[in-house]
Amino acid sequence: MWRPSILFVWANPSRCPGFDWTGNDLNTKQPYNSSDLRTVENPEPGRRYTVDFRFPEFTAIYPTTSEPVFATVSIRYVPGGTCLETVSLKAYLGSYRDEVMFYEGLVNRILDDLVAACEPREMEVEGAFTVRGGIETRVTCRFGSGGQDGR
Amino acid sequence: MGDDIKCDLETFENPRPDRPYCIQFTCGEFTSLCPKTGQPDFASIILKYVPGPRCVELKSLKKYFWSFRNRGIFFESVTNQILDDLVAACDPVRMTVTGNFNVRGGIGHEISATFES
Repeated sequence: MWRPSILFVWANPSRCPGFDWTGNDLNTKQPYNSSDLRTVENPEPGRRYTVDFRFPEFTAIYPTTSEPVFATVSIRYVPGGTCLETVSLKAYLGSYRDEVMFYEGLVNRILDDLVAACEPREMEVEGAFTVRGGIETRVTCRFGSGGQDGR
Repeated sequence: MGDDIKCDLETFENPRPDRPYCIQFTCGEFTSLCPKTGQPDFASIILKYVPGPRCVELKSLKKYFWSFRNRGIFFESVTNQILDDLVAACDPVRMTVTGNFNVRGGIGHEISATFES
């Protein structure tokens, strides 16, 4: 999996002393890590029900322009044995702030990480990115009975 | 904190300096960091001004707003700092900067600062 490391001047820790999103010193910032995701036991594992999250403050860096991108990330899933814990989910989604990735890579990796963390019956992740160059982009990925073909 | 970030605001000559007219920019993708918690803040920054001899150039304004991305700064400071920098750059007749910050701790914030020549 591609993990670009080039950050532009205004996103470069050495040029921008201060905090990162976790309150850590940017100069000692640890790379992105999905092991921060925590889960809690599903209170009703016998019932198929749906959980919807919406995170309207998602931001990352676009590789070809090194410019910031913004999106609303929506997560819908049918839990299996565990449910996603929301504080760690917020921290996880916030950790993309300095990641340099294309839209498609971002949304697919979020799906992969969340599926690995909570092993849901089904899950859908959608990234609705704000307009860039006159183009509004929406990327949707699915896991489970809905199929992984993106339909 | 973050004071070493250099983002030069560019300006161009006002095409009609004899007429008082109004320019409004809205940047819906402003983000900075809370200096207390280090958590990201998000806001819409609305900039409304009556130009003097110079107008603010849009691309440099965009990059200027981005320069706050990794800065730990309070809402009140952000709004006032933006007003100070823009007034220094383009010497307007009148300018108002409004920061409409997303809800934090259940509280929304709207902060406005105005300059009159």
